[in-house]
Amino acid sequence: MKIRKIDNLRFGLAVLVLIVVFAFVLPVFYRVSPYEQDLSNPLSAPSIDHPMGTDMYGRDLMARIMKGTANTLMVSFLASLVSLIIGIIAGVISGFSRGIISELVMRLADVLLGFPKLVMILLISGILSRDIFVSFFLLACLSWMETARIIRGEIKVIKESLLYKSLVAAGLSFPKVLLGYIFPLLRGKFLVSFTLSFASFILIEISLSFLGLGYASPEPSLGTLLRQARYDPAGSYWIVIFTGLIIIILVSAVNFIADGIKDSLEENVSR
Amino acid sequence: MSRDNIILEVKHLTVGYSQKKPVVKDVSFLLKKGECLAIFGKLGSGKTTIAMAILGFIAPIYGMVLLNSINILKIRGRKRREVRRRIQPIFQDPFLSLHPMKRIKTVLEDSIGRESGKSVKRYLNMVGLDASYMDRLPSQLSGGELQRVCIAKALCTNPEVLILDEPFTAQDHVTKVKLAVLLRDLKNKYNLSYLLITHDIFTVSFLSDRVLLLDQGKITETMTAGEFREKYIAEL
Repeated sequence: MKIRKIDNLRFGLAVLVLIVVFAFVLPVFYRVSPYEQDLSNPLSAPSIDHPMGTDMYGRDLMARIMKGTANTLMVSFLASLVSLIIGIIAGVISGFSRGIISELVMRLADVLLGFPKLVMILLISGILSRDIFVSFFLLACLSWMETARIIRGEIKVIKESLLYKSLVAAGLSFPKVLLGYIFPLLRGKFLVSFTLSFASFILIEISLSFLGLGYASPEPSLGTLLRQARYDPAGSYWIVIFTGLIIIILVSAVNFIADGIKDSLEENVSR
Repeated sequence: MSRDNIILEVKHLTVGYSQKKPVVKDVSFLLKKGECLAIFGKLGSGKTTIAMAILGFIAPIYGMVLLNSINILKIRGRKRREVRRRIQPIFQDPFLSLHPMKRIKTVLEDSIGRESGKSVKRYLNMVGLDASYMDRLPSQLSGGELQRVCIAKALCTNPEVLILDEPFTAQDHVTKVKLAVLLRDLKNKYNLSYLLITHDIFTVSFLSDRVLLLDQGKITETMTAGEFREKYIAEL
């Protein structure tokens, strides 16, 4: 049982590392521009020159998928990081404060959770900002609530523990207690929150770009590549297959990692 | 009684979650330098609530806690942190009082307030542990060893008062006796004052000089350790 659970994490991590290598390291050796058009060679099937074929402008699909994966990973990673940081700050403030401040943070979280996420995403991306990084930053600012709730709950429990009382009694400063003693206990929660929101932001980026609200052309992302595949004439199967495959593998890997971390944390608690 | 000799004074302490039904009702007592004062009572009589109020973890409805004649409940900010270091708790479950991922050396250094392997060794030696324990994690120690580490951790702040809240309840009989002897020796050697919170007759009769009997949040009787032994051990 234990081996199976750890395998989830290892398998997910191994696949993610391979995707990261594919997106960020392989382009160093595969020196083909993802933007360079070759109109004499549109929609050519996979070959030795173009291992994943070309798109309707004759651009190398493998180079575009590499760049697209890197773009998707980067924006999703940054958004998850911002969302995690805001969630931790809100959770810590709400967990340690009493009365009105604690209530205010949690009620704000309730209000934001009450908003339909899809409407917010479309509103931000479609109307407020067409810059993908700004859009995702705003989305991250509105996606911290689950993390904040988890952290708040954990801190409320820790505050009642003998460990916390003995640290406070020893006169340790608040930053020392928080960063040195409480955060190490919560790092598993941070990781789970981060990986779950990372998977969710990857899907959001793909969906938005697919709808034309994400990366602007000619910048590729997994969503824009998938969108482009829709307009390509029937028969150019390779665009959909290779892009779809990367999306499935990437999201599955991140979910495997989140499951693995969650399982290993439960294992630790039961031990 | 000379007031110079008094280290901790609790005056009319009333603690609870509602004013109508306080858990601790108008409790007052004095703790002298080098004395072990036991608060003895049944489970749920309010012993730990008194300890938590003295340590500043529960705000009392009414009353004062004077350490060297200064009301420590009124102090705020950095000064409060400094004052807190002079009253140290030893809790029932040592494993829950220590961070599972921190090595003993780090725990003690953080309590001392600076990095010093030499001091850590000294404090470990004071509780009968050698330097080999410095790099261990709490999970690698027995219950008795963990409680010794908790005592060393408390001593790191050079406290004047130790609040011993059921310090041996999680220990077996042999360990209990060894720890009781250690605490008695430390008290005598360093002139420490103990506020012992317990429902265990052995602990009271072995360690304490005076005993307060607590029932339903009120002090019902005050006696010397000799009187306590006569009353309770004779009954057994």
